[in-house]
Amino acid sequence: MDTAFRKIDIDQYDEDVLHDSELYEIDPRDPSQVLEEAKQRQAAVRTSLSRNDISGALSTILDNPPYGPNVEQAKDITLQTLLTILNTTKSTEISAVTRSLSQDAQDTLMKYLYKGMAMPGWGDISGSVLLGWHEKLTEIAGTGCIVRTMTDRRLV
Amino acid sequence: MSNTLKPYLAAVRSTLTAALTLENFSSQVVERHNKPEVETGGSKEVLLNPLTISRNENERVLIEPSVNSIRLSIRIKQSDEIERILCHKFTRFMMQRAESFIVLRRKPVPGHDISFLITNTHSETMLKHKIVDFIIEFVLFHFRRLAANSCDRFMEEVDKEISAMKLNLNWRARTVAESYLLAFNT
Repeated sequence: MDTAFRKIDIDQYDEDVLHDSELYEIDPRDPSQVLEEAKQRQAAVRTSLSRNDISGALSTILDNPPYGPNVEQAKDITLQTLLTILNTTKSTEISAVTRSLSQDAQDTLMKYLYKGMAMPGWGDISGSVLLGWHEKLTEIAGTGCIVRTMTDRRLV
Repeated sequence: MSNTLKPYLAAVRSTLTAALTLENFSSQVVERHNKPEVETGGSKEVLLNPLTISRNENERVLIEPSVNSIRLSIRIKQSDEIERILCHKFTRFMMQRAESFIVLRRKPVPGHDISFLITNTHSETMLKHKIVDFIIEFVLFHFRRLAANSCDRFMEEVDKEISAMKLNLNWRARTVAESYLLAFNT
């Protein structure tokens, strides 16, 4: 026991240590409430898509996304819904649709694009679709959007 | 599949340009020390979210930014055994000469084939857009030709460099085996 003292990470017991939770504002909503919202949004998006209202569908899904720990299922549902929207949009419409989004929505969309590219075999993720959207979104929102994705701790 | 190359390179270029906003930041753990924070991985506040840009499952670029350094790792598509060996040799050749490349890392990050470490001193002494150009043109384009064969045109447009290497390899193996076995033909 005496010889093991060097292996203790003493910094974790320091009173000034920085916790993950201090880095960003915790989502005040309850996990089950978040899951409910995600499912409702999925239904709303389906109706929007059947009416061919792409920008409406995108704004619905990108508004107040689930973030942080504990809400994995809600995040999966949101990602899946977003992917269906991205896959069904024609490449000519992408610019118009992204231009109609607010800046917050554009940042959230960028976060989802990177999240999708990090999991290339998941669901029906198509690398070419994500890359096409990324190109158009960078053109419209600029490099600042990417910087905000890197620095925003609210991992969607 | 090869029509995703241009958006892939464009995505890497824009992400790299965004990540190369580095500034000097002394170590918070040891006084008077200045270390690349992405390598020491100390406090969570100086590390930013890692981003991946992937074209498909086998080809991706991972960018891990931090306040004073970024680490960029590339995973190259290697379809068969020979391509794996050739890629390994090629990357090893470059990584052994990492000093002259300045921004190259001697060991790739696990899961990838080659890694770069760019610190604030590099971005101060060198032009940022030139660093980005170097990485995109030299590595990605070169590796694209090396590992090249895009899936849908594998049979039709076999890449000359890699096929020549393979033919050369096979020819050398055949010649060596022949002259070796001739010695037993008594």
